[in-house]
Amino acid sequence: MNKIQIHGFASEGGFVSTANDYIGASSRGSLKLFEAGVNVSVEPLDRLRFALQLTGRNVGTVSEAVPRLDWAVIEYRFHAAIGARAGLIKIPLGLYNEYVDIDSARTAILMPQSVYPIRNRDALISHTGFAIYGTLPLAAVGELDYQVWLGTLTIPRSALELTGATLDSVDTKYAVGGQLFWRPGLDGLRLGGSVMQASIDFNVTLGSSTLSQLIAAGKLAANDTGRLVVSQKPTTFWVGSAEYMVGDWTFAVEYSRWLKHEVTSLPAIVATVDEDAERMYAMVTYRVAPPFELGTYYSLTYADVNDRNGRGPKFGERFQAFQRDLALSLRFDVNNHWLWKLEGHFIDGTAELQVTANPNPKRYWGLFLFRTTVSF
Amino acid sequence: MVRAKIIAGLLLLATIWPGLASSTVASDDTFKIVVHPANPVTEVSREFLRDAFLRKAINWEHGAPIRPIDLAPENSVRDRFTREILGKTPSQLRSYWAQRIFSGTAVPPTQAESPAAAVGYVAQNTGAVTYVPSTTDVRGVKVIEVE
Repeated sequence: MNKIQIHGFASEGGFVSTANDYIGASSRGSLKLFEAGVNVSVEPLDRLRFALQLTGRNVGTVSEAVPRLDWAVIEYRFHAAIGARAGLIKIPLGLYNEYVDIDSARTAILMPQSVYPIRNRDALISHTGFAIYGTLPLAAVGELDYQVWLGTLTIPRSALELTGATLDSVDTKYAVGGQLFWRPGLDGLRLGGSVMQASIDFNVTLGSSTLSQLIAAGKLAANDTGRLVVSQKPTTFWVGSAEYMVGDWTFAVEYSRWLKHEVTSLPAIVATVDEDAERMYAMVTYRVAPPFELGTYYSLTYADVNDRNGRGPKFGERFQAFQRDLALSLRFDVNNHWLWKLEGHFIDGTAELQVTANPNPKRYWGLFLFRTTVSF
Repeated sequence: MVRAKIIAGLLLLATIWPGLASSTVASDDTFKIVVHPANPVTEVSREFLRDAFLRKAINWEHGAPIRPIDLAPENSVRDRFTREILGKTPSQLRSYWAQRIFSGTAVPPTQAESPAAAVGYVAQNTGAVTYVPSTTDVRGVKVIEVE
């Protein structure tokens, strides 16, 4: 039997929103929901594996003409209880972060945006480093699946919203994390938590007009070059998770907090920021008949857990402090390799929207998507 | 005369019954688990078998690597094996492997084109294990029990 496996996928779709721009120019409607990838896995020995995946995409504002390396791992499993990976590795965070860009692995087109926001995908999808993982038997009380990892992140320039300045480079000092899932004797149930922490420097140069205004205001010296460093040290994410698959039903609940301590090299101009965002969702999917699956979730984001209603001055509109999203999905499997999906989102609030792309946000809006995916 | 007819009827029923019984059990989707004859294992737990086919367990108790062999989805016993041993529906299993294949964390067991091919592979590889329809000719391999 072969020790080389080759798999691939291609996916295309479209989306439109009743107001606000999300993913891309959704308010005008867009067909920019294309992704394709191919991967190869080689097992030269029983416990040794090499694998890599190349992907290309044209999703919203992200367009990659040349395929890029999505992940590439060398893996050796010493024992069921311990294995090691090195390379460019998907980040285990919550139930689905490692799989968040795999359309054929789920019912929804967009996973709950509170815990898996698409705008953070590139920053949080993978790290370059090492991981240790395994399954520990717990006799009568089930098993523990664990992962711990250490590496650096590849942060895209779009990760930091700037006005009057440009982002020169991003430097991840470190990123570290772990995940623990307990699978008790009850089939299909897993309970656990994940955490990750990173220290990231964003190297920024102020625009010439901004710089001259600040010099004129006496906030910067006349010979200042306008360079500053915005440091998120640390940014911490943790997620508590529960999933239960029984028969044709799947239930999932996750609660997450994202904490950011941001300082700059010019504190007189850019103040220190401490954010504590609260994110959660509950999701149910049901396989109605062999080809049909229905799914729904309710997802909640609060940009600041201490100001859920946006009464503070940092929110231009109060509804920018939160986002409540009711999603309904329908999946139709034509066969084992081809599927179609339809999805609607009914949303109150704009906490997940990019502020610069939405200068006049609307509180109540809808987002509708369709997608078809083939995989082998 | 009546008694003779009853005895004849009972004999006929006794003749037919084993056939009926075996056709009920061995038809459609019942399966058996087979390993290489040199494998010292005579029975395994359902959990061990599940972890082997989900590629979580990698060694037999005696230390040899496990090489699980799956059947193609068209085989009806695969559906039953997936539900009873893996504890998943076929669509859940597809999602499980899609998640792992496209995230780079694991790949599914090799698929055999037919039960005979699966048996042939197991007969050639000491660590191999597969499931085949109960009616499959399993000469050259060893049938083990599931606890």
